[in-house]
Amino acid sequence: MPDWLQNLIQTLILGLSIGAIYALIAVGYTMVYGVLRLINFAHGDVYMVGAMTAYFVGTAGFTVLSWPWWGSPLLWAPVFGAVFLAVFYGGGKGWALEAVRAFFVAAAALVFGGLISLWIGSMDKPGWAGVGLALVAAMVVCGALGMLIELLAYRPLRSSPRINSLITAIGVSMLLMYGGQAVFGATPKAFPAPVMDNPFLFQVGGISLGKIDAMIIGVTLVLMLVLRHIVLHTRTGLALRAVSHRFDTASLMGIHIDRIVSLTFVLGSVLAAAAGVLIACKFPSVNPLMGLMMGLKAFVAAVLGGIGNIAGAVLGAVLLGLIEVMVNTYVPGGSQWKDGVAFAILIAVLLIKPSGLLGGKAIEKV
Amino acid sequence: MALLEIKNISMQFGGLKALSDFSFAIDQGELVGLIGPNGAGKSTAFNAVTGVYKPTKGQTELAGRRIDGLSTVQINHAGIARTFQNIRLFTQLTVLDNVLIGFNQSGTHGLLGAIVRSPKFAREREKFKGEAMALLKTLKLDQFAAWQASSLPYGDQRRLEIARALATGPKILCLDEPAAGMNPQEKIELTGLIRFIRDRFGVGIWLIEHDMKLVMALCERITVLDHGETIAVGTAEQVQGDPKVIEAYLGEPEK
Amino acid sequence: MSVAGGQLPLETPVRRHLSAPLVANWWVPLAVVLVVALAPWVEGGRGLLGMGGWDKFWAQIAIVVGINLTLAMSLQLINGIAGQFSLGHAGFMAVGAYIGGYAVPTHGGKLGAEDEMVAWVHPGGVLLYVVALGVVTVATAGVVFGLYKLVGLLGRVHKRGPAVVFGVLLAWLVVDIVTKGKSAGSNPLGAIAALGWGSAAVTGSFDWIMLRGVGAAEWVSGVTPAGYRQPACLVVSLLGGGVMAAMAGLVVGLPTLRLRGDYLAIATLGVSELIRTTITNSGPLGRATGLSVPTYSVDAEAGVSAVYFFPWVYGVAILTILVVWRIQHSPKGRALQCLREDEIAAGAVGIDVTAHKVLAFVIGAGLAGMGGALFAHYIGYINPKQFDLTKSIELVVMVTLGGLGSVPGTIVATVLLSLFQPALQTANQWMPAWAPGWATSGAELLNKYRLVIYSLLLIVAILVRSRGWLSFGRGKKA
Repeated sequence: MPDWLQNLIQTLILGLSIGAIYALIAVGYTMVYGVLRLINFAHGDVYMVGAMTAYFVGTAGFTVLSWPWWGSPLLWAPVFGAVFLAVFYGGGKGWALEAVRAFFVAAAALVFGGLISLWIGSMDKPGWAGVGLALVAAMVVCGALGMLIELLAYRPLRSSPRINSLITAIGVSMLLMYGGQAVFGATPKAFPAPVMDNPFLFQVGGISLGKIDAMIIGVTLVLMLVLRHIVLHTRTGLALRAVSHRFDTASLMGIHIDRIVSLTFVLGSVLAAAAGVLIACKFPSVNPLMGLMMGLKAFVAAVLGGIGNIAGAVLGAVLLGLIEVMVNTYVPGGSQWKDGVAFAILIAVLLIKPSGLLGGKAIEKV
Repeated sequence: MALLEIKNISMQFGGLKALSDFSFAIDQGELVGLIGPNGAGKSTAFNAVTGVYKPTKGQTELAGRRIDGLSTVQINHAGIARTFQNIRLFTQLTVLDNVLIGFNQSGTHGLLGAIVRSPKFAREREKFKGEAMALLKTLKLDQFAAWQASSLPYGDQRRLEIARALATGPKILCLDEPAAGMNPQEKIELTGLIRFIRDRFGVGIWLIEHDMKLVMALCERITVLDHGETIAVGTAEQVQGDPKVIEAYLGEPEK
Repeated sequence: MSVAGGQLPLETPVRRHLSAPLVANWWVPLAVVLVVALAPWVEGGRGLLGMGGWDKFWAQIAIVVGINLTLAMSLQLINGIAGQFSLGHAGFMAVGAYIGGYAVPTHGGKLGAEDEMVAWVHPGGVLLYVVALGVVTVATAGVVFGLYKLVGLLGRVHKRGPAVVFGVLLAWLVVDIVTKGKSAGSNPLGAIAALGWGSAAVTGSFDWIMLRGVGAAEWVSGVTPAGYRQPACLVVSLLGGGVMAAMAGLVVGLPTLRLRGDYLAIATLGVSELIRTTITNSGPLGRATGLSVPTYSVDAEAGVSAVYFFPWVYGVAILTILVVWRIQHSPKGRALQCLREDEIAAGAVGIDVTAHKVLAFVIGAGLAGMGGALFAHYIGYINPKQFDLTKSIELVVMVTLGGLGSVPGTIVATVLLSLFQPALQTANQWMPAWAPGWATSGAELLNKYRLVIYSLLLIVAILVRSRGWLSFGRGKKA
């Protein structure tokens, strides 16, 4: 096999792997945009929280259960709830009660994470099992986080002009980033990736497929198939599609809008968490600011494929991953332009076909 | 040759043919109507002529100059103004500002003049304010001049939209369902207003309406559309008795 | 309540959303700005609260506030008055900062007696650089635009023509790069001969102008009286930065015309990031490490510079406020507001939507460029990280919290937000001597978490301004 072809295939595999990560995050952006027409700036930081959670769980450092009673989430959940009711009560009982419930769910998620962390701590060689458990814990915690964010920051602004929600989204993003920095410190942490004697799954004719890359692509495929099943073959998925087509009409059809929107956020956050864990396995360094750039690029991927379209998000993400890796490998000095590639693509898409590769055209009725 | 001549305009949206072979002419000072059942393509015809859509086929000429394919802005500068089916006022601006906007294109001071507040700027500001107030007075809206446009009653909002269109100095005025949402009293006033505008300003008025009484009372000539095609043209009496028109509105009589 | 004659009682609905100005009169902004601007002068330079005047705390804050006023007001023109949601204002600021920041040390200095580079003495040189850059940029833009039109003409001949040509070129580029690999000396732009020739032409003509203009530059500097050379350098730097940023605004405004709302926001974001990436990859501009910029000081003594810079900062700030205010209250400003409300109706009334959008971007960008140049000369050291998305967002927040379209509101919001971080940072020093221990440690905590507090305040502020107090869950707002 000629050298350049070997090189090319190796690059393509890497691109596919990166693209898979982008896809997991991009789907979250696209689903939220499809349902609420909102760009969820905080989504990239949910990905970061997933990675950080997996780090703490994986190093058996998720010590929520050992917090003293006055720091325990089990206490703070009802306290927060009571505060919200007191400050914002004004006929807002429904929302406030949901807020209380959401905090309880978040507390439960944290407890779950703590339990997983203890379990991992009890294993002497966590390895792949540890990664798997950390993945589950991260997905649960981020799912709860996504639900909480939607409820507290976006739902009260649903009837306001969209710029308000956009700025709030930015505020939540900053809160997660700087809160993470303040609590965990800005120095990157080393993720406990599994130690392997043979890092390659197989090597054929000079082309090698790493185990981690294979895992990334494999896990992404599985999660995407599950999502596809949910969206296409379940009643909830049908409701989701209905809401993303016509928000108001869907509620007239008896669909519980709030629940669907919440579910959308949960699904997106779960996938983002998986992305965070997977990338931490590949590049084992996590820090609170890792979500910003990643989120932006995944967002570009979603726009490239047609924002609002899940298949489009996956397509755009894979394309972006491939192009980015190819620029990095083949263009001299390309490693510095790598980040700019995403934005160049963004501009190009917005100029040539703003609705993306798989998006449709909308005509405004005058 | 009429002032505005529309020759065989067609409008196709993908697979849907919204307007086929629409021809029409209107001269200065004429009062003409366009009617038809819902979805007949009346607003599409307006939009195709005023530049919101680009006609798929056909030509439009204003005073002999081709205007099809130009943008709304260019067509407005050429001399056609329009109002909208759902009132599109600038709600956050005052009533006076809404009308002043129409005079924007007549100003000659530039941006620099505005920034340094040159004498020309000051002069033009006074001049246009005077003209705008005069226009408001003619349309009996001057007492609302400082009000926010959105706080006007519905009928007055429609009149304001017409005033704004008139401020651009058009030769042809296109009114898209001006009587929508009005009660009978307001409709009578509107009839008088439209006639008054034609007499006072000498513009040609092209009207889309659903209210038959209004159209029959006002229009010298009426075109009837159905499913994008012209099915009848004539005076009010001619169109009223035309069997094709009756069929389009009421369906076929039971056999 | 009786309802007479079919008319409902008229009342303006309570507009509790982001267009409602934070402050509606001029006294508050005036007072606030005066306090900030005069604080360092109090007590003969000792400053307010005795915390040090000119070379310390208050001077720096006052200057930062002044620069932020320029930046926020220029953004108000784009976001507030014209209603175009731009998230890329930091990019325009960066253009101004880097152009001014590069031109002055590289071209505005001369070798002095001890073979040492003396800054701020060669305004002609700075002028030459800026002119050369401007001419080459305009020429390149013209050529690119011409090519674009040419390709468009090709599209008239055959509908798929341009797409085919573009696709073939792209495929050629990709195949060439892939098969050659990352060999030293292979230039991706050279892969397609025309592009390689084009880039050589651009750099070549720039160098040619620089070479030919040396004499004229010397003449200009000679003609300027000695004492005025430094201010002249600064003026050229500011104007040059502003003009180049305005051109960047043109480049941004034209293609993004068709985009609305969210799409426009992310397009501006993308352009800003592209500008940053270009800077990060540019050797002369210092790449990621950054560029050292001479500060505007008359006396080399550290800290005296602020006094002399102060009038420039506030001069530009006041100019910006004046320009934006005058535009807002002119027919052009009215047109921009109509654009903000309803583009289709605006078009129907004869307002050239395209031209006005571009106008807003160009002027807003130009003013931001001047602010950026001021920033560079104040801070003395610029790197791409200072102009990232976070900076754009800071400016958007200042404009939005002040009220979209409200100049006085923006002034107040800008001052308050600019004071926020320094206030928390130095909370320790604010504490009077007798304050209890927990207050001091509380102040330290405030400092550590200040960005977190900032984000929380932002969220709460938006929620409150959108919905009013105590009305969560009460239903839709007016």
